[in-house]
Amino acid sequence: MLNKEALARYLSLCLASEADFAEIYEEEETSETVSSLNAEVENVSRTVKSGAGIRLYKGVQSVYGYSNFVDDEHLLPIIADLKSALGETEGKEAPAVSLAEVPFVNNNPVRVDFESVSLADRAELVFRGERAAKEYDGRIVKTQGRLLNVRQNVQIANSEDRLAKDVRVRTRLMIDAYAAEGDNFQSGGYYPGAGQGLEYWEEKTPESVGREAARSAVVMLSAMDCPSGKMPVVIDNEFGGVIFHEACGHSLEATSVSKNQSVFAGKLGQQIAAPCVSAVDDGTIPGAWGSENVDDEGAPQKKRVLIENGILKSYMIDRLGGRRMGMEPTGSSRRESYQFEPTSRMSNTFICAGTDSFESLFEGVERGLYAKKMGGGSVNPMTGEFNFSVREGYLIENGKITTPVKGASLIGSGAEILMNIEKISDNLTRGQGMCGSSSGSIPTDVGQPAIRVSSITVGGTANE
Amino acid sequence: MNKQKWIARALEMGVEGLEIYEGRSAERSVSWFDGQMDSFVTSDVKGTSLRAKPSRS
Repeated sequence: MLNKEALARYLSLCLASEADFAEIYEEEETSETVSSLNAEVENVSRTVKSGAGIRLYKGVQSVYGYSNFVDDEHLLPIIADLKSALGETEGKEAPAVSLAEVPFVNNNPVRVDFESVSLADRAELVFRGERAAKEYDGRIVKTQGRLLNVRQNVQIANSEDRLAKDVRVRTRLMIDAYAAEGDNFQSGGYYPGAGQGLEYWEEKTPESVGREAARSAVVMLSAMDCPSGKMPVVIDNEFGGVIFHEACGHSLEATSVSKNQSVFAGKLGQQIAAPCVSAVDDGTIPGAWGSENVDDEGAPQKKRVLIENGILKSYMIDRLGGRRMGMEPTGSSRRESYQFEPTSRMSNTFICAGTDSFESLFEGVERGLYAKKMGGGSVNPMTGEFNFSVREGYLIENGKITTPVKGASLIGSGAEILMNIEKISDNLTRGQGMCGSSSGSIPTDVGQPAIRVSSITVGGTANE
Repeated sequence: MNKQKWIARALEMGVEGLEIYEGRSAERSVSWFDGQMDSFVTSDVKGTSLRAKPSRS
């Protein structure tokens, strides 16, 4: 990694231009994925990546350049290119930059680094999950597993004399199970992860991951086609929060708000959700999948209250978004790697726990849908309109969870859903995902307690 | 990168086959929003990937 003097020298050169701010982000990342099929290794993929990205601001204009050659020969032409893009300046002297390291509390300590464990033992973690899935039920005919481990070292220096460093370690186990009965073939998957070392799998055992994947596949063997229409829907906790993330969270990022491309633009202080709804984006949760000590602009991570009792309290704002909106950054800047200019992104985003019991969410529902596990979907980022598949769903009939259903999808808009949440349970949990946006694919937690929405359009495959 | 040396070393280590992929890309992109330059990105990146087929023994 570049030393403090080299970083200061590059920043100083950047400022001998029209730029009023300069930043260098440097990283070294080692990642590994062990993939297996039916408890036999199929593939081991290992990536070592390093490089630096340089960003200059002139007012609300930003220019960015990057290279994985971190030396004068390659960085100086990039700096020259960036300065030229902002407009030539004749004879402006390079101001001195004197970097001071920003102290921080390490919220994400690691006990078992993945490279301290043999490849055979890492593969065994995957096999344990797959074996548990296979043993769960005789109808499990195929299993697949993947174990991802990442260690990313970053340092971020800027022309405000700040130098921040962070080490991000992550692990994730993904088990898919396939169940068959005659020509009925169903799949189930479970993909937990954490911002921790391999010690995480002592707490969340691979066996529990495999059994959950298998349970979901087996239960869907008896599923009937889902009816369609508008109905009350109970969306369960953990990955159920993906709808809030996609249809509301992205609309609260400065990237869309600063360009007036969000349904929530200009609504700070206004009611945008039912009074029972509070939601946060919290990058400080120790050991969480979406946590980090500093954001990718070197600012300390924070807990951001987005919605409090239905009132919009804050957006998620990066430095450039803050300039464009005339607001302070909220430590929300993230990027996949040095190959991406950072922008405002989520970390661990969730609807806060309520006070209702899980059982009470079903009381009084004559006919509805219980979406236990959500699948993939699509969202219009301008309007928050979404369409999500339900991976594991059940009918609600006369207040009880009854028949499993397949082929269900939820159709609506984030703003509408937020106003129609009528009950929130006390069973908040988070699920892990990779979020894609203009600054690349980053790890984020989604989450919520089980919630009841008074009415959502359910798309189904049943002929009624 | 001396590819011959890498392949010889891999074979010495008992690997049955080794593939080396090397690429270098230099790019420049500009986007505009509301009549102003919104982003300008310039890059110079080189990457190397190795794919090994382990021996059956």
